Amino acid sequence: MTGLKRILVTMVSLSLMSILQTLVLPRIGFLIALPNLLLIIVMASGFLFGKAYGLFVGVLTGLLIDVIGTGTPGFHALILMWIGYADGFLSEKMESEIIPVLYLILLANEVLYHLYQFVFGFLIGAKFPFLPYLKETVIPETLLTLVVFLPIYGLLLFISKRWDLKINKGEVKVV
Amino acid sequence: MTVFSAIKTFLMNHIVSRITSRVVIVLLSAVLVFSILYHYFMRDDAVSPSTILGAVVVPFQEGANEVGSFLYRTDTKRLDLKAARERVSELEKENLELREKLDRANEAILENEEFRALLRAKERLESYEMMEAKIIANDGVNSFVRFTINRGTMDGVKPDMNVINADGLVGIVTSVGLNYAVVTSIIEDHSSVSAMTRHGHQNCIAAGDLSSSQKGSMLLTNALADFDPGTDNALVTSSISDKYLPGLLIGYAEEVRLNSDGLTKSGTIRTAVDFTSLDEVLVITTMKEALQETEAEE
Repeated sequence: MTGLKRILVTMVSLSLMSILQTLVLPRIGFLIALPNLLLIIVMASGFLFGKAYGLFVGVLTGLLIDVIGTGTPGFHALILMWIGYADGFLSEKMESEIIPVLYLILLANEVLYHLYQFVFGFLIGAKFPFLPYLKETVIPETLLTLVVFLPIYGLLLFISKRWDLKINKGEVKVV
Repeated sequence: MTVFSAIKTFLMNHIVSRITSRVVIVLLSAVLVFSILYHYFMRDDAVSPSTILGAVVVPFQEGANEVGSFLYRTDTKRLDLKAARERVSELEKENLELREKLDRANEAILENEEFRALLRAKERLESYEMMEAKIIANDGVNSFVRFTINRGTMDGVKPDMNVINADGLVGIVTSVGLNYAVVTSIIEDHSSVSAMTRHGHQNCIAAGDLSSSQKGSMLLTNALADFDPGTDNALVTSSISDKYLPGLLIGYAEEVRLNSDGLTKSGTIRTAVDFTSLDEVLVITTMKEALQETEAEE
């Protein structure tokens, strides 16, 4: 049951975030960049349910992005799979969750994700000029992601604790 | 069974238990990297998810498009049909109007011809004064045996006035009202007209007969044994008649035979006038009596 509930939670949140990411947020005119909601879901599922779930959700999300976007299956799936797996791994090693640490990990995820895209972008025929890409996409996106991370993660944490799904039973500390 | 359970136990102990996240991620990474590299190096003709998606979706889109264009064509056809139907009904109406006009024109032409014929007859018989009259009622069923014309004493019509039309003698006025007159035609039963051949002046009697009248013919009686209509078998009113003016065409003698007494001949007369379709007639206001008087004075 726990596994089914975990899958249900991740599927529902993934679907919601995909819709938000692709249909709702682009319509909001004043946003200069979009927060990476799918990355948040991947990280949250890894952190809450363990590295297997992080891996699974990462692959799924990445394939979704590939099919919708670039058309090369595996490009995003690879990096998101590793991110989800790594987050789950970290979560299993940590005694307790401290919010600033989570932020740092998220920041690391973002940097890793964009660095991967920058370095291996040529594989999918994408060209990222370093400075403009950094200035116009990476920094605004990272900031927005950091801003919206806490509400989403908090909601998922609440649900996981309510249904007793969380893998790491340690305290969640603000500082 | 033991073999299967042994295999199962072996699998569980040595394979499934070893499938950890680590193994999965390594295998998946290999697959994904292969996929990326495959798509990178075979970029042009690689089978991408978009291609597969397209292969699935495009037929549906084409089908939907077909349905859409079918509906559009049907709708266009329907509109065309509607317009065509409107046009047809319009044209039918116009056609009807034109036909009506044509009918009126034809009627006018026929009337005109009739008047011309009357005019010619009038020229032929110009020594007689006559007036046109229109038949307004008919007592007979098929033939005009006794009929009413729209002229009466107000127009100067008197009894015993001869009535003709363009073809020949029609009959005689028998009774006159203020604005109408009854004409008895020459084919009426018991009516008899003194006739003669146009050139030979051989006399005979043209008698109306009930059975013949419906066919529009008369009996030829009281002809002498030497009566011979010859080639010109036309019969006209005789000069010896007391009511009919001389020289009016009655008809053509046919089937003239010697009677059994050996002294007289008889036959039938095909009337010049078609008594089944009379419309306009001429009333000759000159009367036989007056003619005789003027001749006597002279």
